[in-house]
Amino acid sequence: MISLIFSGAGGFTIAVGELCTRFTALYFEIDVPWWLGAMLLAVGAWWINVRGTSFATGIQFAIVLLSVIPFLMTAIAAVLEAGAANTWAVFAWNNPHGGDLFAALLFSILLFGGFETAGALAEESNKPRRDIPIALVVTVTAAALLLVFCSYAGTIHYGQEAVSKDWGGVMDGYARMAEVLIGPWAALWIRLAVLVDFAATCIGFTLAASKGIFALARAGRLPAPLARTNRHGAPSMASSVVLGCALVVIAGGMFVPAAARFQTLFVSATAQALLLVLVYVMLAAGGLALLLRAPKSQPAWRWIVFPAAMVVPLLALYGTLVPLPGSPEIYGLAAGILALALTGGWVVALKRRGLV
Amino acid sequence: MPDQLQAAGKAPKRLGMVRLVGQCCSIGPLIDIALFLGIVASLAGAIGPLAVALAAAGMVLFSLVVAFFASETGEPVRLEIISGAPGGRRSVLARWVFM
Repeated sequence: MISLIFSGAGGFTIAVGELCTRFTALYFEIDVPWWLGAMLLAVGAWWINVRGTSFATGIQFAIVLLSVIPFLMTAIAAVLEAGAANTWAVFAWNNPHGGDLFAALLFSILLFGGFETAGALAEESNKPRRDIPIALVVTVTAAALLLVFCSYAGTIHYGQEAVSKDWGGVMDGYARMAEVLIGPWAALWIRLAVLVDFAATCIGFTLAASKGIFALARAGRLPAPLARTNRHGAPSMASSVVLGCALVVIAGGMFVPAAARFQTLFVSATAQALLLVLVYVMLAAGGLALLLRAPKSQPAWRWIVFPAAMVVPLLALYGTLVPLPGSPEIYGLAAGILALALTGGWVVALKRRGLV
Repeated sequence: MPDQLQAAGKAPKRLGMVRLVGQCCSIGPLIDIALFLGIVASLAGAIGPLAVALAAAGMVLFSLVVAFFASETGEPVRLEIISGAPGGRRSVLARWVFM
């Protein structure tokens, strides 16, 4: 839950505000304060969530469908344009222009973070035992294909030697690609899609975080008023707490220098990714432990898949800590460790009250 | 929560497959392409696609683990799996961290 608040439910709001400012300056020549865009998004995500889960998830799906088109068009255009420059070398470990693979793994896993939040909706779905597994696997597989293809297209477009600096050094690399390969209208579509998709992210993470707070309150592990729901069945008090976190982050952003505002994305993403990877490792270990409880009744594929699922998160964890990252990611790492300490304190407090 | 609301005659709509996929996409895969793939490129350089492909393979495997438990329990997935993990303190810690 803290991981969700670090990201779309709060931590990303400063960067979203900055994106709004740059977008309106670029296309409308209007100077919109970053905090105004950030606040509108946070309040909008809260409003959509208190309208109910069905309303929120429907909007998310529509946003994703509409937004994926320009990215796919740009990626296809990049591959076609590259011609003979298309190569398998970008998948080769020993590529001479390769960087730190393990450090990149942490952010690569972050690309997929959030899919498992569908589990939080089990109570409200038609057929959770059938629909949630299908939704999880289909979405992750589709996202995997899309992300690998887009990563490949971007790397080929910017060139293996220059990709680290030319793509990694700008915040709108895909929009620039679209501008060159397709035209300014495609770049506008992508920049707009990113803004709108950020809204979908905030909606989804606010939804998942508020469900988490609600469930803990309902189980007696957080104050009971946080389990209150409104007439739409939405956990209104928990959603308000998440909105409060986002507003605190925005207030904190007032003290961040303008030039470093976008860097807050790296800090919050590092904190989120660290917590996310730790949870993935624990989930996989938990799955393995359940298999060991009834080893004879398990099909063979589970003995291969469950341990294998731990490997990539462990490698990402290794890449995060060895060597320690520099600024600004180190602040995210510190925030993640602080969150773990806070969690430890909370567990001790629960234990003293006999709730664990 | 829905049961309580149903009893009160004001149940929210039940969620179908499309809306579950909508929630699965909550991270915003397009933000990932636009922003985070750039970060991956800055760290991994020319082998960014390899990093993404490795993570993709790992996450597809991981989704099978999560899906397996979702199909077994039909309950909020992470709680069930983590509850089965060895170590009570760790399980509660994980619930709070991510739930």
